[in-house]
Order: sequence, then structure tokens, then C-alpha cells
Amino acid sequence: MNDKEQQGNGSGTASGEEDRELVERAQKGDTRAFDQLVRKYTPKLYGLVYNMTSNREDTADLLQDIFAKAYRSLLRFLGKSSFYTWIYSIAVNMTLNFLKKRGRRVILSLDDVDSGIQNDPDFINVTTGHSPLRDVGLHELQKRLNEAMMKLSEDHRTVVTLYDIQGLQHSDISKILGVSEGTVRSRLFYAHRQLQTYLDDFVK
Amino acid sequence: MTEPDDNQISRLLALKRYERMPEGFEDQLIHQLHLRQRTELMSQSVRSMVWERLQEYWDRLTGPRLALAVAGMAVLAVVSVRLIQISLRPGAEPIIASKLSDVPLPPGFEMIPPDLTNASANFGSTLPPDESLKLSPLLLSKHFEGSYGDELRDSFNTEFVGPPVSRRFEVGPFIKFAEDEERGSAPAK
Repeated sequence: MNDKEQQGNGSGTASGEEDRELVERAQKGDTRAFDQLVRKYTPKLYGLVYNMTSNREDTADLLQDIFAKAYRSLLRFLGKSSFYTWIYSIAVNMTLNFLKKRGRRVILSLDDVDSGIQNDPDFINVTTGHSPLRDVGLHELQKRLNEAMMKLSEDHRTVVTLYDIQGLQHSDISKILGVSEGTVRSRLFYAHRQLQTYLDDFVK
Repeated sequence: MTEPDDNQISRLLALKRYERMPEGFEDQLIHQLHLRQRTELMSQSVRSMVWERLQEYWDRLTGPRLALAVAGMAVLAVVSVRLIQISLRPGAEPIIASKLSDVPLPPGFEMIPPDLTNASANFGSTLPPDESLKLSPLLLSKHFEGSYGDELRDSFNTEFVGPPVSRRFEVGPFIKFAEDEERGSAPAK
């Protein structure tokens, strides 16, 4: 397990309670409650879908489909799992289905990057520190990372996105994907090993 | 693979968290979702309207006849079940077959119940002598006298014997017999 701070997933927390309340209101027909849920989960799901597709247009289309499906299925959501896990499961499944249909036809498009990255020690380390590519530009780094991600299998890319980029815990990933924690760890291990090869010059 | 390498990869990938979705993406997404929900709602209502109309049309077309048929079948089923229940009840009399005594007799007739005393002893025995006399005109022995046994006999003139019943309905002699009658001649023998 890495030393990064794992983000809260919203289950069993104040965020989870808030979600439950919003879901109940949305189930009773309050569309504003559903809009609030959309606003809350759009940044997280955008990150998930974008890092799995590496294309902004596809991400926008998929997010529409994901939230539309969630809205249609909301009455069937019984609250056995958290809304967070439920909406993530829908997003992952729909994105994997989309990727299977899309095949190898990939057009990479880069997202805007928050200016805060300039102060991140890891970014400084990669671009100016001990890295042999000390003059690498931000866009070059983005492009290399996206290309490396797209070389992974869809299952491996999913766990890397959820764990390394989104900061979810193994247990949450196993619930979302419907696999054991051991499978999640195994997929992560092999994905990291592959990425080590693809991004060799960055991590030396 | 060593743990530090794993951490390095994770830290490198974590830099992707700085990637942001385009400005105003959320608002645009919600707007698009509302449009989509409205379109879906419209298409649903059109579908439900068409379905409602179809159902109404079908009801109008088949409703009364179907209802009548169903009602008839239901009544038939209830009556059948009731009849079966009654007939299966122990000691129940048959419903359909009426008693012989219930059948009305023509005026002047009287129903004489059979004498069943010593019936088993009389079973298979011959008829009393007076009864056999009444049947004498039909006895088989008449065949040996040159007739068929089914001739019509005049009750007053015992010598008169009509044509046998079996022959009277034959086409040829009957027509001839009728022609003879019209001419006033005696019937042909």
C-alpha cells in the first residue's frame, strides 16, 4: 500500500448520509436532488472515464450515458451499497463496454492541468530534480502517461485509475469491480510492472 | 519488483489528479441531461398514448362479445360443477333419467305394478295358457300353413287374411292395390 492519503469514498460517512438523503429525494421525483448528485460525482467520474478512454469527447458522451442510466435505474437502487459504489460500478461497466466497442481506435486528447501541479514535489522531481528528463514539459509528461495507460489491458487500466489516480482503497475497488481484494492487488502489481517498463526513463 | 519502484510509479500516476475537466463542464452536462430526460419522457408518453389507444380500440372491438362468451362459459362451468357435485353425493338419484312412474299415461290406461312375488321361481317359465292363445295368430306354426305369421286378420271374419305386413309396403303391389280400389274392384289377392 502506498503512503498516499486515500480519499474518502462517501460510504458510512457524512457524505454517505448526504448521498442517501439526496437519493431518497430523487427517488421521490425531486430532480434537483439528482442534479446535486450529478454535480457532486461529475469530477470523480470524469477522472475515471477520462483516464480509461484518454479522450475528452468520449468522456463527455459517456458521462451523459452514465448519469442517464443512473437516473433511469434510481428506483431500483435499494441502498444495500453506498451510492458512491453503485454509481462507480455503473461508470466502470459502461466504460469497459464502450472500450470493447471502440477497439484500438484511440485518439488521445489532453485535459487541462491545474496550475497546482507546478508546486507538487513529485512533478518538480520528475521535471527538474533527479530525472534524466529534467526538461520535460507538462504536456509531454501528460502524453507519455496517457500513452502508457492505453498500453495496459482494460482491466489493469481500471485498477490503476481507481487506485493510483483516484486514490480509492483496495476494498472499495473490489466492491466496485465485483472481484476479490486479492485480484485487485494482483492486477495492480502486474499493471505497475508494465508501467515501469513503459515509463522507465521517468522512474530511474 | 521493489517497493520503491512501485511507489515511484504510483507517485507519477498521481500527477494525473491535476488534470481538470473543461470549464463549465458540469453545467453543460446537467443541461444535456435535462434535455435527454425530457426527450425520453416525451417518447415514453407517446408510446404510452399509442398503447392506450390500441387497448381502447381492442376493448371496443372484442369487449362485449368476449365478455358474453366468458360469462356464458362461467355459467356453464358453475352448472356443470354443481351437477357433478350432486350426482356424486352418496344415495343421490339420477337426475336426468326420470322415474317410470312419473311418465304420464294416456287416458284410460293404468299402470299395473309387476307381481314380483315368487319372481325368481317363475323366472324362465312359460306364459300361462290363456296368454299363449292370444298370441296364436302370430305363432310360427302359421308359417307351416302357408302364411308368414304377420298377416292381418279380421277380428270378425277370422277367415279373412290380409297381405303380410312385410309385403304391404313393397312398391309394386301397393300401387296396384290402390288402383284397383279406385276402380271399385275387389283388392287383388
